Formats: sequence, structure tokens, C-alpha cells
Amino acid sequence: MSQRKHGEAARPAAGGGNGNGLEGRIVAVIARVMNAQPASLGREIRFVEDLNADSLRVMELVLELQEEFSIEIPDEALDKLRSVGDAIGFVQERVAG
Amino acid sequence: MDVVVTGLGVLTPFGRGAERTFDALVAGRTAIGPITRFDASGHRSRIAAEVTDLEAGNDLPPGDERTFDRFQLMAVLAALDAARDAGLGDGPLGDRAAAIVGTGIGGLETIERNHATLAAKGPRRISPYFIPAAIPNLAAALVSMRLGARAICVSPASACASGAHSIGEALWALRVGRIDLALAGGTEAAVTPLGVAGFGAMRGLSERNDEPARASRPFDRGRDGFVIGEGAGILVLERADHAARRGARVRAILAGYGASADAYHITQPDPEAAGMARSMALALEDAGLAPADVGYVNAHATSTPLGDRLEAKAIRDVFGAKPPPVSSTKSALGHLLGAAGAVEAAIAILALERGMLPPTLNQEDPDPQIELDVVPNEARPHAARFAISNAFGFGGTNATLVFARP
Repeated sequence: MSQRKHGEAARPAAGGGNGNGLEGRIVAVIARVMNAQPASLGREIRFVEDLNADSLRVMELVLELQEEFSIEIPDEALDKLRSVGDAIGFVQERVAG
Repeated sequence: MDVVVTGLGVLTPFGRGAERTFDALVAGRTAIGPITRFDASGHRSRIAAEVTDLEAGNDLPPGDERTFDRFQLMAVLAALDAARDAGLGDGPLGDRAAAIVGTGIGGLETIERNHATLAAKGPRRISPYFIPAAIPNLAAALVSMRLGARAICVSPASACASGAHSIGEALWALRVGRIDLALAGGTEAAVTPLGVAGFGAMRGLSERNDEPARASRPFDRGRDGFVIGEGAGILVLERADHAARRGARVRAILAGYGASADAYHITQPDPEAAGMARSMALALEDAGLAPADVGYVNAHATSTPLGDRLEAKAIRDVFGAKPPPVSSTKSALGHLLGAAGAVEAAIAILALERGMLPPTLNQEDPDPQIELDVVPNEARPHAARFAISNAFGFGGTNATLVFARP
């Protein structure tokens, strides 16, 4: 817990996100798990390098995305889920399909 | 080498801050009310002393309130308050500072929540934070991380004596010079459906559901069980030379520690109360005191019919025909389980500091088997030099701490 800075990241507003629709919902989940402002979550933002997430936090994100969108994310996919853009693309592919 | 108390951190249903809790006790207020954290309608006991708002502000990193169990968060907040009270800021406290924070149960709410997920959705939906939030030692570990305390880091478990044993074990480590400073105490958050059902199944809890304020009545003839509570208490303990070097304010001397086992029964105290008496006698011997030196006893007395009577007997066995005033602040605060021994240690210290004894509430019908001055119903000005605090736990484990006014 000492790794993260205190009091900087505000809690996201309910239903917040970059725009509406699926992408907005995905970003809202990421924001909630990562304690980040949805508006700060550009596609290029990386979970570990930019948001200081540890492995448990990334695993929690996977779990929450599975829950929110009723999809399965196989363990093999974990390595490919490194950024906001990765997550958006990954979920969109499975929800659209 | 004396070991001194330089900081108090107390978080109870009365709120955050040792003084806030002590002032409420002296004012005769109660922290007990109907259970609000879950629907308790099917439970035998539907009352508790709940911490209704953790009020963490910026003291906890964002997200931790969601990630960790309440018993861990409360421990971190109490530890921060204790460190700040001791003039240590938010650390880092260094390689010779310990975090010894006990708990009776651990992350019960977390376990219940994840078990519900397991049953409803299967094993692949369990949170990766389930284990860290459930395990008892993460209270001490999070305290160590938040305050940069890098010496021994453990969570002693002795049920309702955990907080007192943590302080006592820290005393020994400080005396032999293994450490210079310790954040020591206990924490508990077991006001959960399973916790309340479990203690209820043992018929351990008061079922005076219609009169929450009158439910916890240690020593009174109408007592019918304890009222479950939650909270955390942490003391900053230091070797006296260490405290003197940094010019710290000494709030009390931790003068002695006694610990014993009944070796008798999993939940019932030894009917001779020999283990309780030995705990007190050992603590006095450790402090180099005679019974007559002690001016106040903060009792363990939880408001159970048998336990209170046996503690009263043990006190008479140790202190003789004229024991000092004895009060049980569980009458107002409920039973904070693994946090109780540490919170009540802080209360005993404040009683010495203020020259004021907090009362035992709800004394309406004296029990003829309790031959004690229990400071009934109202706080009493009383200057004492030494006070003891008892804590006894399931398994027949006993601890007594002795504090001295500096």
C-alpha cells in the first residue's frame, strides 16, 4: 500500500468513462479498479508502468472485466492485457463476437 | 530499562482518537445499538457496537477501503494516530521498530463475502485480494508498510486477549533490547452475519435486543452475555532511553506483564479462576508491586454470568478483602474481542493521566457474588499511581498489563 501515492486519485463518478457505450463502460471498470479518473485513461496508458498496478491489481481487473461483460479471459491472454487500449480491444472483440 | 508508552491510537464505535473514546466513557455514553451492517433479523442477538464510519480521509491510499478487510484498515488508522500522538509523524520508523498487532479472528467479512461468491459463481470468480484481506497478519503487515516499521512484524492470536498479549510480548522484546520501539495492540471486525451467529450459537451474546443501551451490564445480576463490538487499539511503546533521546512525551510506563493459561476448557474459565489470578499476580510481580499499590483495575468482565463472577473472585484472591476500584468499560463499548485488551490498556492509561475512573454502566441490581467496588454508573475522580488491565480469551488464555503514571 505504500507504493501508491495518497489522496491523489479521486474515485470515479458512477458510470463515468470516455464517452458512452461499450468503451465508456470498459474505461469505467478500469478506473474503478485502478483508482484513476476515467478522463486520465487514454488508450496508451499502461497498467503496471503508468498506473503502478501490481500483479494482483491486474488480476482483479481481469476478474472485473469478466464479471461486467460476461466474458471469459483465458490466463494466456494476461500478457497481452497491458494497457487501456489492450483491454478495450480485447473486450470489444469478445462482446461484439 | 523501563518501557514507556509515548503514543495512543484508539478507534472505537465512539470514533477515532483515544481521548474521544475516554471522554465518551466518562460521560456515561453508550456505543451500543441495533446492528445496521447487515440484516440481523434472524439472529439471537441483534445489537452491537459498530464502527459506522472509518473516516479514513487521506490516511488510507485510495482503493484500500475496497481491497482490504475492516480489521486491517482500522489497525492502520489506529497505528497512524498512535505514531502521530507520539510525535513520530507518519514514519518511516526504521529497522528497530516492530509492528505487533493481534486479532482474534481476522478477515471474517472477507471470508464470508468470498465464500458467497464461490457458492454462487464458482472458484474462478474469487478475488485475488481474498487471501491478503483475510489473513490475520496483514493487519500488522499493513501497519509496518504504512509506517515503515521494519523489525519483527507479527499478529499474535489469543482470541479476546490478543491485543493485551501483543503489548506484553512487545514489552519483552523491548526489555531485552531486540527492538527500540513497537506499535503494539489489537484489532477486530467480526460484526458480521457469521460472527454474530457463531457467538450467538454459543449463547455468548446478550439477547436484550429491545434495550441496546442496557444490554452490556458486567457484574450486574441481570447480565446475560456480551455485546459484540469492533475497533482497534495501538500503543507506541519505546525503551525509555530511546524516548528520552528524541524528547518524547511519556504518557505512561508499561511496568509489568503477566500471562497464563487455564489449561482447562476451550471456552469456559477454570471454576477456581486460578489462571486469571495467576495472570494478575505475575504481572504485579513483574512490575515489582504489592497488590495495595494498585489504584484501578480495568476488568476484562464482558457481561457473561460466569466470566464476570470468576474474574471478581480472582481479583479478590489477588487483592484481598479491599481490592481497588474495578470497572468494565465493556458496559459502554461492548466487547471489541481481539482489540479489547489494547483499547482498554489505553483507557487505563488515560484513567491514570486524568485521575478519573470510567464507570461500569447499567448497575441496577448488584450481584451478591460480586464483592467489588465496580464504579457504578458514574465516573469517579480518583488519583492512582498504578493501574492494571485484564484480558482473557477463549482457550483459557489470560493476560494482565500494569501501567504506571510517569
